[in-house]
Amino acid sequence: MKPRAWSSVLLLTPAGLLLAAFFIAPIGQFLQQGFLDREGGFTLSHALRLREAGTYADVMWTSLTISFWVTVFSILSGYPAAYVLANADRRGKGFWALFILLPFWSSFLVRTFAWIVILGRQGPVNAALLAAGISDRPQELLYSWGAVIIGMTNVLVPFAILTMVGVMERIDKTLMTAAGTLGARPVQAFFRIYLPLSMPGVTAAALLVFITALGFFMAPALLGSARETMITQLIIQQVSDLVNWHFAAILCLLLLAASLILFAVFDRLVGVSALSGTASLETGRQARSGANHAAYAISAAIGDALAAVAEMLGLSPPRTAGLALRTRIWAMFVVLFLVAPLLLLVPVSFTGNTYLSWPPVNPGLRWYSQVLTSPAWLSAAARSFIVALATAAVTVAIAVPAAFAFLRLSGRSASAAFALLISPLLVPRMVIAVSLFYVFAQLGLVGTATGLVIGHAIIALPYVFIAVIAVLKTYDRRLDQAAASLGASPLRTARHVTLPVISAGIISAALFAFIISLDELNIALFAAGGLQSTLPKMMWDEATLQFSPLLAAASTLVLAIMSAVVLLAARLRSSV
Amino acid sequence: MSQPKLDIIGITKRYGHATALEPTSLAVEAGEFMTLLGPSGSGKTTLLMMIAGLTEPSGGVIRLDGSDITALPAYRRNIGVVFQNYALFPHLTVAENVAFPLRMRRQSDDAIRSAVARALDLVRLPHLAARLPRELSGGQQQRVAFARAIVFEPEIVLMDEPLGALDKRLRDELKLEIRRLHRDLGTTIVYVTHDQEEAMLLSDRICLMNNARIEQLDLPTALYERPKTRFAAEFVGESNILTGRVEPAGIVAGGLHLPTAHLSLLPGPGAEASVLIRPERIALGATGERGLAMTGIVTEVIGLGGTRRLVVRVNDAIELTVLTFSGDKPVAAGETVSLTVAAEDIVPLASGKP
Repeated sequence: MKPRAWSSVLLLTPAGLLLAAFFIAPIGQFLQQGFLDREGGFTLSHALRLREAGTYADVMWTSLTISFWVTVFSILSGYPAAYVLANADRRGKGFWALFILLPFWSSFLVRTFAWIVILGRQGPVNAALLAAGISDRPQELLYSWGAVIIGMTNVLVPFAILTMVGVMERIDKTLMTAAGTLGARPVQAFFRIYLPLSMPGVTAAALLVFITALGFFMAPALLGSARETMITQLIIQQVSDLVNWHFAAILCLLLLAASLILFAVFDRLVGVSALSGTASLETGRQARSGANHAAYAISAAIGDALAAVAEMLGLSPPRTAGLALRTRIWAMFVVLFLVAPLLLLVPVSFTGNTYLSWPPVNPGLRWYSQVLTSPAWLSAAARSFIVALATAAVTVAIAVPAAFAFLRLSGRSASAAFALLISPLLVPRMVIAVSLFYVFAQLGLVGTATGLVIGHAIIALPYVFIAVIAVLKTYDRRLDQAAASLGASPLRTARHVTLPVISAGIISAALFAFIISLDELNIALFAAGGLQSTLPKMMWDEATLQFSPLLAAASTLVLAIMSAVVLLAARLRSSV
Repeated sequence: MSQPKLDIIGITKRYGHATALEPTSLAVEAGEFMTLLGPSGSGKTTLLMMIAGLTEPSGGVIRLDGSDITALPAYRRNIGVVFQNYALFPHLTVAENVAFPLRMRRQSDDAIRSAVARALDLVRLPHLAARLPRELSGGQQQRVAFARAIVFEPEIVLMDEPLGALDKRLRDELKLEIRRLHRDLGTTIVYVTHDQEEAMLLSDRICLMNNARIEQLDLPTALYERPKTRFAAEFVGESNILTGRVEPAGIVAGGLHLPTAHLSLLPGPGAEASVLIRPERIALGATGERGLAMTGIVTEVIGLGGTRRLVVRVNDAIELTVLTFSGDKPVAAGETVSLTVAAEDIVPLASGKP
């Protein structure tokens, strides 16, 4: 091996060790339990329990259908917003990006809570229905299939948008113009040119949304009824209530298998590179496969049919290339839907009442003072901050060298390194959390700050890795060459040239790790409460009992902190 | 006189207070190769985009074969456009790209097949019909873009710096190819470029643009030999420009009397004026022709392969660039030479911005 190759291996070692010891090994060890009896012999009895009474099959089916519909709604509502974001001019882009990124990076938990308020008996939707005279008494909107779908879609649309934007931004705008000069109506140009070219983004977004939705438990637990129970809730039940590791392992295996099968299908059809947004539009591996050909023919036919209708009606579309007003209005609605939970939760937190109501009455800071003087809340907050800071530091220290190494590799070794580093993204968080819980119990790490940092680092690693790659790709390698030609050794080049130039990007990547850790519930879920609690865990425990104004106040505080961090990160990035 | 193919009347484009194109009129004859030549920001691309229907004019009228198309959307104009980056659809094969405008016009599959084959034959790429654009070289992509723009027999073809992204060798080759295609097809072409050599080689007429308006509209030779303004003289070809006072029969600049054969172009005596002398119109040695004769010291000799460029210092105020053939009698720096210029080749420029 050449010395260069050795140094790449060296740079990848910390990431490899972390993932091997606390990701691959624990999952392997834990999933094994699914096939072991009490004496450690092989058995299929746990697996066969899945056939029992149809319950588990029902739950799995529910999980799949809910995830399917959430995916459909996320793509349908996200596509126009992504289109607007990708095609806006510089100023417009800043505006749209802010309103799409802010919800994206604000707490999952808080946004799910907000729907309890919005859809509650005393919430704004019911208040509006009553005021408009549409109904004469408050309707039960919560604890239903619709509430779960709304809550989950709300959380996942930003994912879909950001994944699609990555691909759409790479679509050459003159292609649509060219189609126009060749005689295509705008609607034909869209279905024949733009839609086919944006498909890798759409399928990548669908995959990410589907896999993430499949592992959800917060929204179905807080917004759904027993009929909307999803597989992850069963896993939690098996672990924390029934302490049945063996069957929990089987359920985790089922969840993991579903995710991996989806991923494998996606990889066959589209190719993994579309996930990171690094796919060039023209390199879709099976770009000319039969399935794609059929899809293109269908899309083209739809475009032609719509164009013929428009022709018959004598509609004349706007002549100049630009964003159609209707698309922008639709995108505006999507943004409103994204921001609504955040906007409605805040006023509720200032109520002086002991219950939730809309509009809020007796405004005051009563609940804020209660949160800020409670030792339990304060210690949870302190612990969360320390863990988040440590997670950010650890993740960056591991991801930066790994990203450097990745960019030096090529071909198979590059794909292997990439697959390894982003693998935690493909495993539902709950599977990681339960596996770590199983291993930590033996190591005495359950509920410790160290344990939390390890778990959070595993979860944050793929995001930080992708962010750092993006930063490094914009770095002009000729600066290093210039430094070398001026007499700087590789180490001094890194210290005096490379790192200072990329530092802002790295810090913003670190802030994202910080946010992910601050909002992570899965890993802390099984630890005891009390002084060992983290902020999300406190909020979750509180919410599963009852949703009170106290929680709204705590959520608003978390929201404020996270927004500040996100805006700081965005500032740093734009100043690069 | 027959009506022009394309008649542009007072077309203008403003963005807020900025003017991308002052009210401009231009008529292009059927079968003509018209080049819009100018530096970036001169308005040439804006004008082209308005002809294509891709930019909405702030005022004015565009007529194609006498009928007003100003309000017609791009897809109804029947005007082919070759874009600078080609804008080939990356998910469609070469044949499908070329077929696209015909499909939009709902032609039968048979008609499409034969038209596509003919167009690809014309650009000499029939063997690449099944390839995707990314599998082609830059020059091949350019030809496909051209085939796609002419396959539906548009009224006019617009080309926006179509050779801009190619290297010099390929550019030279494709220039000749475009010239051949224009001759063979007899299509009306409006071509945008900032490369004066390209404009000279290809055009029937050149429309030189500067500062959002037409600077000079002329035959290529006329634009080169009789530029009307200092900008035109400097933008097209190499130039010596001398500024002085108008006298009877010429101007006096730097102590030299420069007689010109184009007296009608000069302002009244005593006014300030500039004249142009092309470097290759200055002859070394005495020719006995009526005109300007002077001597100077050669300060620099630059070999350019087939030609040689000399810098000759005539006096403290005047330094001239002279172009000679490499086969001429060798000249060394420091030598004193005599120079002559015919009065015909001393061309007055319109006063105005220096």
